Amino acid sequence: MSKLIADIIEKLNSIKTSEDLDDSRNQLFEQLMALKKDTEAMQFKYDRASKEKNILYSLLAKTSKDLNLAVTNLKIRAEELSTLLSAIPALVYFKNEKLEYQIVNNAFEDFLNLKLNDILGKKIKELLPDYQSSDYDKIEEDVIKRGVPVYNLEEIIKKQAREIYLSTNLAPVKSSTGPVIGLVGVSYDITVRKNYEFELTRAKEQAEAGTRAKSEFLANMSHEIRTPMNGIIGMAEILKHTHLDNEQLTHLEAIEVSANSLLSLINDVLDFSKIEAGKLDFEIIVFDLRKVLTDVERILSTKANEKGLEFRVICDDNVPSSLKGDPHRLKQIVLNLASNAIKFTAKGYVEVHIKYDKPKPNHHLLRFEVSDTGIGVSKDGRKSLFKEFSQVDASTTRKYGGTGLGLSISKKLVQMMNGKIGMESKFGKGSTFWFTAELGKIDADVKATTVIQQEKLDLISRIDKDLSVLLVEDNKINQKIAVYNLTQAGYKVELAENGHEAVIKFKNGKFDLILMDVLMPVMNGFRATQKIRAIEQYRTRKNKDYVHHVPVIALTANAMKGDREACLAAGMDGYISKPFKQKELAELLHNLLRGQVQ
Amino acid sequence: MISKSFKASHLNTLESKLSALINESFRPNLAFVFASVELDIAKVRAAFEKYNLLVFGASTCGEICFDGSNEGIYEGSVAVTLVELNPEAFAGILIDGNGLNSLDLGKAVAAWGKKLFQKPAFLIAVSGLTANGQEVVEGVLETAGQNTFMFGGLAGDDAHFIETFVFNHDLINKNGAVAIAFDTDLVKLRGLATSGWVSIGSDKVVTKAIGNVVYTIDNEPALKVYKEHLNISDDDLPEIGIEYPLLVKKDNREVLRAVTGIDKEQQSLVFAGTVPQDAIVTFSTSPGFEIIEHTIKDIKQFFKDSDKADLMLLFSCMSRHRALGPVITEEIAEASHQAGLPITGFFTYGEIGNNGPARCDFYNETFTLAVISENYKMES
Repeated sequence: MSKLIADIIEKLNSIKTSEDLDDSRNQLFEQLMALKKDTEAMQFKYDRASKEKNILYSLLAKTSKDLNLAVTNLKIRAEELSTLLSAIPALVYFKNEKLEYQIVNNAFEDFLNLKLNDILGKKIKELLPDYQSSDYDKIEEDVIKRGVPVYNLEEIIKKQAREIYLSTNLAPVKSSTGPVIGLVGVSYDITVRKNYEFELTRAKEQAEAGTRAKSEFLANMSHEIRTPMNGIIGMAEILKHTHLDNEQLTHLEAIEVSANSLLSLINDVLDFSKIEAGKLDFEIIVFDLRKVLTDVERILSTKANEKGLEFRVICDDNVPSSLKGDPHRLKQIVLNLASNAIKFTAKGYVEVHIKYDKPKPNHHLLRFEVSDTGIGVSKDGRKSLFKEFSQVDASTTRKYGGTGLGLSISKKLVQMMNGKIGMESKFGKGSTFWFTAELGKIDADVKATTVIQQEKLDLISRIDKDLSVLLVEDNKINQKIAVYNLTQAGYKVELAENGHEAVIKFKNGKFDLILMDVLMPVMNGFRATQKIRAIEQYRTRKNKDYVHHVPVIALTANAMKGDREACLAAGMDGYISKPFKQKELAELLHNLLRGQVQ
Repeated sequence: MISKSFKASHLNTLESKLSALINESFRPNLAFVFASVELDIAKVRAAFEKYNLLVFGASTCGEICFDGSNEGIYEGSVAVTLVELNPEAFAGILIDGNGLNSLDLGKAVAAWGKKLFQKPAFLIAVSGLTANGQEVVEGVLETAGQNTFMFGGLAGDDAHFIETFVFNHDLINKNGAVAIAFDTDLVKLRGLATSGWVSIGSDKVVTKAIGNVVYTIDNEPALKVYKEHLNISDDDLPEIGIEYPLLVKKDNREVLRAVTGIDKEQQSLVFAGTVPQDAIVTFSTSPGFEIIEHTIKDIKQFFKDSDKADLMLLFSCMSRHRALGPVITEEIAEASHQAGLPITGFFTYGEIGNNGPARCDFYNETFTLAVISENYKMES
């Protein structure tokens, strides 16, 4: 604009005559109009600026006031946070992404015994030179890199010859725009808690040692109880075969029944104790389900017939026979439910029905149902059915006997087979007890050498006739019972008093079967079996045609968890609990040899 | 497409210019008419009655009619562009908004356009001081598709804030919308929207709002907050409120929302578009005359990327006129120069448009330019 004015002034100055004025008139007019336009714009800007100035000044004043208020509020908030931070009974810190301390609380200062200014901007290594921080640094770097928190990081800090346990939580701190700018850490001194933990661990170990001692005591007691029981039952069986008058026979049968009841009670209590101690022996072997059911039928049908009951076992066609699991425990459950049913049924029938429930990966789920036409169970009675030491009511115990442990043992056993157990009943109209069990599918064949297989097949054919048996037993009563039972079966028996004698007799003789007591003076059963197996191996090496494997069956009273493993580890083929009957031995041999041949 | 533009300060000038321009050699079938409420809007409309024209009309807060040889901005007059265009390429409607909310008004416009053309583009002007421009836009896009092109503005009344009008060749409406739908197979509608306003002052929170009515800011009555911060009286609002709109921040998006009405009893403010509750807001202002440079830069960039234009309409916020005074001619002149075309338009209470390829939106404080071209020309 000033150039425009200067031009106009220059033009006006150059006007000397009226002709000059005429010449410049139009140009001057245009320049003055442009000047007018500029001046108007200038005036507008000026007016606008004046008006805006007032508004902007007001806005500025108000904003300043707002900001001052915000700053005051922030200061109050910061003080509150600082008070809170100081009051937290934990070490709290904020580190930047270089892992340098930026904020720490009073507890942190006190812990390091350093002033705030000596901490800020430093790394842990500079503050605690003795502290092996490389692992810790890595974890912190990871928190920053990955942006995820870490909880309950435990470490030991040595401070003034004292070990302090710290538990730390680390969390990434992100800026408002997203990237991680550091981390916040909260550490608790957990030394007291740790000491309690150590004490607890020690107490637990002591308790476990106590439990182990109790289990051993249980095993010993079981041995101690079974040995005289063996004597009573064995001797009763021998007596039965002598000439007795009717009265004597009646008394003897009473002894037998009582002894068998007592043995069954002892077995129940023993099983229950083992379950309680978590030491119940549970094996996974290949077995034939239909064989197990035949056994059940054989064992119970006499009992049922005596009561005039019909007893039947039905197994659906789609239920596979070859399964993997514990046949003895399975049999135990079915026997328990079925013998209960027989016990509580006065007339009608008892039926065991096995159905295929559904396939599962690697397993078959089977359903076992035991139905009867017995007294049934009342609604109240059902509630306590599967609880230990309970029977439906006290009168039941008086009338029918039993420990009240059978169903609770069955329940535990079913749980071990990943199954369920339950019952439906109408009081007075019979009951159906059922359970399900997961049993393994068979995928691999058990292979044995053909020679030994043939040998075993031969042996099987002779089990019921004339085996030559080496009996190794130190207890005189047990010797008598076993010799009697084996001779009655038609077996030829050679006796050895201990393991050492057994090894010598094995070297010089030829036996189809060795029955080996485990606990014996001079040399125990495990050691003797190991020696016998070593002899067999030596003979095979010397003479390739000599392929021989004499079955060794352990005679045990303490059927505790681990016995089976110990027997097998020593080279034994199986075990039988004393007192055994000939029938049981024959059964075991059949199962053992057939299973191995399969 | 042939078009002719003029401005008239009196009704008789309007009539005589119309009769002089429309003859055998120029038979327009579409007229854009932007008139001050100082002229009788009914008579302005009547002046077009005898011609076979489809009128897109709105009352203004200042008229724009720039052809390179004049000032280009006027008050108390009428700006007219007459267009002769393929009659198959467009249609017009005026919808009475009584009983409709702004969203439904937008939906009604779009539903009408969709019936006519598969892919319509719209020019729209909305009347009524409580109209929510943003809701109108949402209504159109919901019905016609999110990538619909649409330009226009809220009608003005020379900053009296009493009543605004839209009109066509036979009706005037105080609370509705006038719209032209284009068949985008035949006509292309593009444009830009640029502001330059900047935020000023501290962040505040909208503590109570429903739609485009704000009741409290930082738990204080909204009217009180405005008056105290700008040191103004009730009488200065809503006029000053258009010049100092709120910059509304919500969901990573910033929009300017101008005050178009006040409720002294409720101490509330009516905005030209939605201000969501819980949004962070600041005041905003034009940083000075340099915003023109900002606009000119955007205009140059737009035309660098654009095809040749046949017609341009400008919807510019009335506050730009207030803030920039006679200097505003510079940004209008630049757009006219870039396209080599005259520009007709008006100063609004709110603008609608697509900024380049972006989704259509509702604005305040912007220079929103609509560029119309016929497709066959580009093909040839």
